Amino acid sequence: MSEVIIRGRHIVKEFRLGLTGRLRLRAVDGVDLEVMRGETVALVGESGSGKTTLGRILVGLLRPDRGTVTYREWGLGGRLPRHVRARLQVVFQNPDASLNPRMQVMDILAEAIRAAGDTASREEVLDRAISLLEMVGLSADHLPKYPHELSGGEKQRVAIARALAMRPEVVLADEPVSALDAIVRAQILELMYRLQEDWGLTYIFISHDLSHVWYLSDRVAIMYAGQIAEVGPTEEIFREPAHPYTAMLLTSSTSVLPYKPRLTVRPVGESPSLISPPPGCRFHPRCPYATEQCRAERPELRQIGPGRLVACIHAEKVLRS
Amino acid sequence: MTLLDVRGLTIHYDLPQGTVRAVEDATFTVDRGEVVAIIGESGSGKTTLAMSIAGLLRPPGRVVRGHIYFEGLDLSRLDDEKWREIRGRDITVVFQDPNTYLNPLMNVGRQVAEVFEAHGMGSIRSREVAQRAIEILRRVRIQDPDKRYWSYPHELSGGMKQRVLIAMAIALKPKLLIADEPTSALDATIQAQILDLLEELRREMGMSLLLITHDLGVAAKIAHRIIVMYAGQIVEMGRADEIMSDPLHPYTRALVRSVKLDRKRLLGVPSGAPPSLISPPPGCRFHPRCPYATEQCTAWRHTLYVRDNRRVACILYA
Amino acid sequence: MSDLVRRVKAAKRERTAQMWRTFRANRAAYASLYVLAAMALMALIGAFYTPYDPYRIDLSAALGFFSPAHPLGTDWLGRDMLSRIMEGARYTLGISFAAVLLGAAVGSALGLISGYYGGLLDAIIQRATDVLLAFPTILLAIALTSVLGVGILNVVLAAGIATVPIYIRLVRNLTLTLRNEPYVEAGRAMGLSGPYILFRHILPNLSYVIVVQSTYYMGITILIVSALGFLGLGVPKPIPEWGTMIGDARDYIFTYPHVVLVPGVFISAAALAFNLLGDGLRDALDPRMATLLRRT
Repeated sequence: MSEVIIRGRHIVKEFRLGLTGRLRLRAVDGVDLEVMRGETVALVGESGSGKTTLGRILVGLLRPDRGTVTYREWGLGGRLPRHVRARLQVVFQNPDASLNPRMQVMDILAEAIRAAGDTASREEVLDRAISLLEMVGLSADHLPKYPHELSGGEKQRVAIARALAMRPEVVLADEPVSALDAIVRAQILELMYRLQEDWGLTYIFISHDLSHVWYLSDRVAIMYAGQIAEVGPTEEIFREPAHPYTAMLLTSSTSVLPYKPRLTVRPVGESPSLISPPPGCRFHPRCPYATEQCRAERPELRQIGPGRLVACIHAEKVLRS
Repeated sequence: MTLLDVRGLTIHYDLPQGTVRAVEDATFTVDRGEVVAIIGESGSGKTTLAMSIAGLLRPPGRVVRGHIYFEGLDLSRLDDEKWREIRGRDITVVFQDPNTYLNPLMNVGRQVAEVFEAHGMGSIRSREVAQRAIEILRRVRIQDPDKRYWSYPHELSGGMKQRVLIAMAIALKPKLLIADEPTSALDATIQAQILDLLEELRREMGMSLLLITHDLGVAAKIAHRIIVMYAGQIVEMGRADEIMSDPLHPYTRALVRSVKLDRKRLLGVPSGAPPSLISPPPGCRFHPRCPYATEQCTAWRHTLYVRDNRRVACILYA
Repeated sequence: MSDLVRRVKAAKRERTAQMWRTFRANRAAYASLYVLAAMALMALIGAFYTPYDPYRIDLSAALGFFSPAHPLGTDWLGRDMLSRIMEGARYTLGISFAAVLLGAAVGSALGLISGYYGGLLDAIIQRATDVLLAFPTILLAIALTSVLGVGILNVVLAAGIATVPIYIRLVRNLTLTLRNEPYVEAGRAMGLSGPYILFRHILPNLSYVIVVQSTYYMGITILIVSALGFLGLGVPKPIPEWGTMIGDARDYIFTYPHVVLVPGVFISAAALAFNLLGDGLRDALDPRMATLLRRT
C-alpha cells in the first residue's frame, strides 16, 4: 500500500578527527532505513546518536562512506539532476543561521523560485513569493524585511517557504522548533502538519522532543550511538517499547505524553564514545537486561511485528515485562 | 513554613533605548523543603527575578520597588558584604552551562574544596577539606569520587560537570538552591538523572528548590508549585498538577496546550509574540494575543485573584 | 504590485540609511572620517599645488619654527614643512592604500579558494601561510625590501605581500565557517552551483569583514611604510614620504624637535583615524548588531 521512496542500505559515515585524521568517529554505523511516500518518519536520539548525519545522507546532502541511498530511481551518491535535487529540501534548527543575513525575504524567496526554474518574469516571481508566504502564515508585508527584523518563528516560516518554493516531495526537518519558545513551537508544528495534509509532503523529522514526535510522526526510528535501536509505528513504540533504550528514553522524557510506557527503565550512565564504542550491543553497559551475549555480539535489526524492527536479542522479554 | 517571601518586586533595566520593565510587581513565597518552578518564555523576566533573589542582579538592572524576605531578613536592602556571607552558604545557584562556571585549569575537587575555604572552613590544602570535598562529590553520585577529585573539567561529560556544579552548590547545605535551566543543555536520559538527583538531595537535606525553566514538562516533573510568568508579570501560580490539568489564565492555557500535543490535530494556539518590555501594552500584557480580551483588559491593573488553591492575574476571575 | 516592489526597494535603502546612522552615532569614527577626508584632500591638492616647492633648498630659512610664512616651520635645509607634508601625503597614504589593496585582493582570493575547495591546494596554501606567519609583519616587510631593493613600487609590494598571509588565514577561517552555515547548505539543497553560492552567499558576508579588517590594516600599513622609510629601506630621499622625513631628520630630534614631530603627528593621526574608522564600520556593517541591540 505505501510506496517506498527513499531507501538507505548499510549506511556508514565516518568523520576523521585530529590533525592526521588518525582518529575516526563513526557517526552512522550500518543503518538501514526506508522512507515511505507521504509519511513522517522521525529520527529520535540524543546528541551523538547520528540522527542528523543520517538525515543529511537520506536527502543526499552528505555522501555515505559505505552503503547506498536511493530516492525513487536515482542514486543519491553523486550529483543529481536539478529537478531531482529540488524535490529533496531541508529546514534547519537554528533560525538565526537559516537565512542569509544580507538578503531580504524577497531575495531569499526569489532565489529559490528561480532555482526551481518554473518562472522567470519579475511579476510571476513576486506572485509566487506572496503565495508562498501566505502558505506559511505570513504575508506580503514580510517581503521587504531582513532576517534580523523577523522573530524566530517568522524566520523558521520563511525557511519553510523557501523549501516549499522548490515544490519538494521530501523535506528534512532537523530539529526545526527546538530553538523556539513553547507556543511558537506549537505554531510551527501545526504549520508543518497542515502543509503535509495540503501538499502530501513526506517529512524526515529529526527531534529529541518526544511530544513533537508524538504529534507529527507516523513512524519512529530510535537511534543510539550511530545505530538504529528500534523502528516502528509511533503509537506502538510509545506504548510498548521493545528496546530497553527506547524504554529508558520514554521514562526519562519530561515531555507531556498521553500515557506512560508499559515498561519503565531507570536512566543510568551516558552515551558511549563513538571513537571506541563498546563491543557487542552498544547499549549493554547501561542496560538492565544485558547478558554475556550482548557484550559479545552486535544484535541485528530483526522483525518482531508488522513494520516493527528492533536490534535487541531480548526484545521479547522486554515486551513481556 | 515560609522561607522566602517576595513582595511586590519590581525590577527595571535602564538602557539607552529606554527602561526595560523586566519584572513588575512579583509576589510569591517559597516554603521550606518546597520545590517551586518559575516558568516563562525567553524575555519573560524569570531569570532576572531569580538573579535578584540570589543577589546577582547587576546594573543596569535595579530593584525599583518591593522586598525579598529570606527568613525574615530583607535581602533587597542588603549590602555587598552581608550578601557574600549569605550567598554560597544559605542561598546558592546552579546555572545552565557548567562550562562557564568551572575553571578549566583547576581540578574539580579543588573547586569544590574552594567553597569550604571561601566560607572560612579551612584551607584548600588541608586533608580535612579535601576529604569533605570528596564526600560531597560522592553525595552527588559521582563514581570513584577520590579519583574524580583530580579530574579537570574537560575530562568530564556535560552531565558530570553539572553534578560538580551541584556539588559546589550544596556543599554548605544551603536552605535555598536556585537552579536556572539546570538541564536544558543535557540529553534526555542525563536530564532525568540530574532532576532525580536534585529531588533526592532536596529530600535528604530539606532545602528548598527554586527552579527556573522554559520547559513546562521539567517543571511538572519535579515542582510542587508552578509560577507562570508572561512579559515580566506573574500571570498564574498554583499546584503543579492543577496547573497542568486545569490551567486558568488564557496564557497558561495556551502554554499547556502547546506542550500537551494531540496527534496530528490543529492546536489553536494564539499567534503573535510577547511584547517589548520597553513599551508594554497598557493593562494586561497578554491582551493583544488573548482570545477573550475585552475593552476592560486595556485598563486593568495587575492583580492576582485568589481562586481555590490558585492565584490568577486575569479579569475573567475577578 | 509595483507598490510592493517599491517597498522592498525602500527597505533596502532604509537599511543603508540605518547603517549610516549607526556609523554616525559613533562620534570618534565619524570624526575620523573627516580627518581622513582632509588628509586625502591634502594629498590631492599636494599633487598640483604646494605653498613652496617641497624640494627647494633655502638654507637662510633653515630650522625655522612655526611662523605665518611657514605654518609648520622649515627643516634643516630650509624646505617648507607644510609643502613637504602635502607632497608626502600622496606617497604615504597612496602607497599604504595600494599595499592594503594588493594584500587584501591576493590574500582574500587565496583564502577563499583554500577554504571553499579544501584538499591539496588548501594544504599547500596553508603550509606556506604558516611559514610566512612565523615572522612578524614588519620583519617580513623589511626582509622583502632588502630582497626587492629600494623604490616606491617595491615598498608597495613589500608591505602588501607582508599582509597577504594574515588575509589568507582570516578569509579561509571565515569561509570554512560560512560554508557550513545552514543557509549555504539550503542553497546546496536547492541545487545552486558552487560558484553561485560562493559569490552570492559567502562573499557578501565575507566582504564586510574584509572591509573592516582592511581599514584596520590601513592604520598598521601606514606605520609599516613609515618604518621602512625611517630605516631608509622605503621611499628614497628626497621624496618627503612621512616616515622618510622622520628618518632623515632624526639628528635634530633633541635640538629642533618639530622637524621630527610634525611628520610624526601626521603618521599617528592617520593610523589612529583608520583604527577608529574601523571600529565604526564594524558596528555599522554588521546586520546582527541591530538584533543584539534590540534583545538587550
